[in-house]
Amino acid sequence: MSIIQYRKNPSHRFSPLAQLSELHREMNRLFEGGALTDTATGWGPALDVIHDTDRIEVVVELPGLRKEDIQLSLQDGVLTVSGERKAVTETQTDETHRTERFFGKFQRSIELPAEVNPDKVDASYKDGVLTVTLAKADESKPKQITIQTN
Amino acid sequence: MNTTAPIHENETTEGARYCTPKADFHSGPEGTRVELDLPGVTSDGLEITVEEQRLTIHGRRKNSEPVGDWVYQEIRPYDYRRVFSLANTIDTAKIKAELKDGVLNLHLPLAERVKPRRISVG
Repeated sequence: MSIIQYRKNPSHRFSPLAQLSELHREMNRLFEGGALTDTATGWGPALDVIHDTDRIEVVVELPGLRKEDIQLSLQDGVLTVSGERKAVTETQTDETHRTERFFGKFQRSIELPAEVNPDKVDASYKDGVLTVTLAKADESKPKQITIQTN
Repeated sequence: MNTTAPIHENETTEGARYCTPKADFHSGPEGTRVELDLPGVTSDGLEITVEEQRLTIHGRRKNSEPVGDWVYQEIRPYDYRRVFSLANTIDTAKIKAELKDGVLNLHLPLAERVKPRRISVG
């Protein structure tokens, strides 16, 4: 799946073709299981993206990882979470009956819904959940406009 | 898993208002080890009960009602639940559980009476 701008340049004119292609993208997004999963490089953990007026929060489910095994990068408004989940090798005599969990390398990239301030990014890992909080850039925050009276 | 396995799925918790946590199952001479992914669950929100030979795992996510609008929502905001039937070869009184970084490690030891024993000839 390709990386698409998240409504950064909304078309104000009525354009049925653009709307159709938007619908097409939305359908693909639904069927491909959400944001941009790079399946070629392994598995893609589930994530949520929430935003309000001044911040964007990205929540990624990454159970059983070490902080050192998670990489985060931000470039051109795309946040990439990657890393590796290493399988814990315990006693060799143990026989594995069934495996449902994912191990190995993972990578996910998300086009952020607004411009962010790259100096104001916080990331924390707790209870197997990575939370990244990004402050929106001042220019992408909604502005209150005072109406002048004569 | 077949019915002779020391642990098998007792009921399906898929659908409904639950998430079925993904699990791995390993067996060794000492018993069975189950690892379950429960991201977002702390020990306060985790309830493990054994009744007869029925093991129930119920995990509540930390309440984190998001402030704002969703752009993507892939994480199902429901509790985790999974129920297993244990063979009577497992000593349910000695089950141990550890929760770390959203992974639950369950140790289900074999009862002493079923463990292999060497019998010396007198």
